[in-house]
Amino acid sequence: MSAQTPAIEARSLSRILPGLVPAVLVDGVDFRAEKGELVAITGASGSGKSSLLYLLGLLDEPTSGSVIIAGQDCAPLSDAERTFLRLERLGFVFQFHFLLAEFSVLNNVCMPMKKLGRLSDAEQDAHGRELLKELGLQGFEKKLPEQLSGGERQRVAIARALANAPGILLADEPTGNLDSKNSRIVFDIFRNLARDHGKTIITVTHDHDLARTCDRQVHLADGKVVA
Amino acid sequence: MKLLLHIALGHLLARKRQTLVSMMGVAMGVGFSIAMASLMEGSQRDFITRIVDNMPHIVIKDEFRANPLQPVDLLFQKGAVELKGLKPKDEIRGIKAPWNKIEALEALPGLKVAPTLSSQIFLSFGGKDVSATLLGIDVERERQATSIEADIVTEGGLDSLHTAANGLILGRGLAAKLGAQPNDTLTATSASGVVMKMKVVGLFHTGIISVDSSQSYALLKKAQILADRPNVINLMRIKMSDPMAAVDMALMLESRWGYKSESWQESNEGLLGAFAIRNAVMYITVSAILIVASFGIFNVVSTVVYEKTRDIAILRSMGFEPSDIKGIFLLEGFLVGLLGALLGWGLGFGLCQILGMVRFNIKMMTEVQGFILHSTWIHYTLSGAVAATSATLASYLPARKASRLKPVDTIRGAA
Ligand SMILES: Nc1ncnc2c1ncn2[C@@H]1O[C@H](COP(=O)(O)OP(=O)(O)O)[C@@H](O)[C@H]1O
Ligand SMILES: [Mg+2]
Repeated sequence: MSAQTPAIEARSLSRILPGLVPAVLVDGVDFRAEKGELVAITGASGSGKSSLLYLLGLLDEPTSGSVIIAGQDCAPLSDAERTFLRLERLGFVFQFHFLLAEFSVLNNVCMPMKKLGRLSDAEQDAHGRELLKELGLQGFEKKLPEQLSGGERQRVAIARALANAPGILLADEPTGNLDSKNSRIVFDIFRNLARDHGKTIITVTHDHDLARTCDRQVHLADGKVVA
Repeated sequence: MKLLLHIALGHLLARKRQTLVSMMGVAMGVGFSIAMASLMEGSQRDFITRIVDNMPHIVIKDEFRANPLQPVDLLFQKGAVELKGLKPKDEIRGIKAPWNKIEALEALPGLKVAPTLSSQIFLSFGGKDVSATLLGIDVERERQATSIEADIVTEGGLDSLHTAANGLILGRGLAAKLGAQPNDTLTATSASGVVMKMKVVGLFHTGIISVDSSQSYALLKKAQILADRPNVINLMRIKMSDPMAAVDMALMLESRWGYKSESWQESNEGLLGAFAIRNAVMYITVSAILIVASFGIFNVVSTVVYEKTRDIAILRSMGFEPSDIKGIFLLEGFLVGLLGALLGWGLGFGLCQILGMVRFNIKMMTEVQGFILHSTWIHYTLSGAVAATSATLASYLPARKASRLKPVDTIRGAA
């Protein structure tokens, strides 16, 4: 294990849903991922993979433990600060594409850039086109999401997740709705992003063949890391 | 803001029909309120203009507001003194030293005075007896201080009073009651029993029915003879170049001379009060329309929030703040309100044009041939502002709900 600061780290992370019978979603997970690493999270359905990913992505707050992003402990941060970290440092891809139906492919990709507001409109436009080109979606800029195939939509979602050049990409079963060919394309993109662009990518997957192509696998069972 | 507008417009443009329907709701509210306000304002202004143009701005009468204090009251000013069987001193009615007062009034800038002896008379013609008010006037002053000459429908104007020995100008309604025509000779009888043959030398028509059916004019001297009150003036009608100053002027004159001085505002207190009530009714109606329109907007924005739960979740996870989400949906309500208001301005303008073309003939307190409309920019601004504000308020609840949605709850459920 390298001595440098991990890109993202979880320390005895737990998430318990309160209730008559409290549900333990994530149970004392220790986890770290380095810059440029592609990590697969596997496990049976209901083992807590999604829950862990939401915690790592600051979408949900842990009951105990902490998430540390680039050396910064996120536990004491306010909602607004966590939101800003998501905007600047994190990218998300889910099983469902979550593209905004009313907006063109290019507009969807540019949405996070518009929110961050660091680039001019022209720069946003150019950067969006470039991302789409890298993901093999040249010529799709003006199309609406409904005019795209499932694999294309998921690649647009990846382009959008990369819009603000985050160091970390979190994906929850990104190939869950795709055929094997498109699934392979997505994982090829992930591998390329990790190796050539130094992104840290944590992806939940059911597919063991795809998981094996990753740098490392983390197996979950009952909210705990088992291997 | 630009980004939020971008997203809000995207949502609205994607459901054009629904958006248009809610915009129409707002437009109706705004359009009808403009048309109604225009009608109200028009008739109100017309009424006030008629009053201000046709009636004296101040009337000084030979009356006092309070009964004069009796000597015993003066003696025991704070005492519990009661006076029984009092017989008031028989005062000669009329304004004392009227010509000094007229001179004083005419020295004030912007004031014209018409001195008058007003008395009740009986007019008899062809077996009909009709009671009437006779105003004895000074032709030259009457011409300057009132607009009666413009209402004389026969030839010669006020000067025709000089064409006969005892000339009389009748309201058209009054003449009709008597069945009298110009040049007919009537018999006039006063309360003091003096009888005088008078010749109809003219007719007038003011449009105010109560005036036209009961008033008549003669020269001051003749009226004084008929009433057996030589040199008496019991009424001074004053016209002001600034009618709005009448209240203050009336107060000043009354405190100076003691005679009851009534401004046109005071004489028409009841009418002006009725206008206030009418306006209140209008505002309630318009509010009701806008409330209904607001439900439409609430409905659209709620629907969009419901349909866009997934969009809200992804926007939140990519770094939009709850306030951004709230802003998007508030903007949607505001936009529907604003565009609806613009549409409503067009509708209101159109309605006013149509109402302006309607012609009818009715007789109520005054005679009118059509709707009198008067729109001001205040009607447009106010209705637009109220519409945009209520639209934004209507979208507040759904917008707040949207801003409180937890992205994880939505994302978990979506596959
Ligand atoms: N809101 C909730 N209430 C109760 N149990 C929940 C809730 N959300 C998730 N769970 C449970 O938590 C466990 C972990 O869920 P999840 O993280 O989605 O697992 P995975 O992604 O590995 O399928 C599951 O058993 C699931 O049923
Ligand atoms: Mg899951």
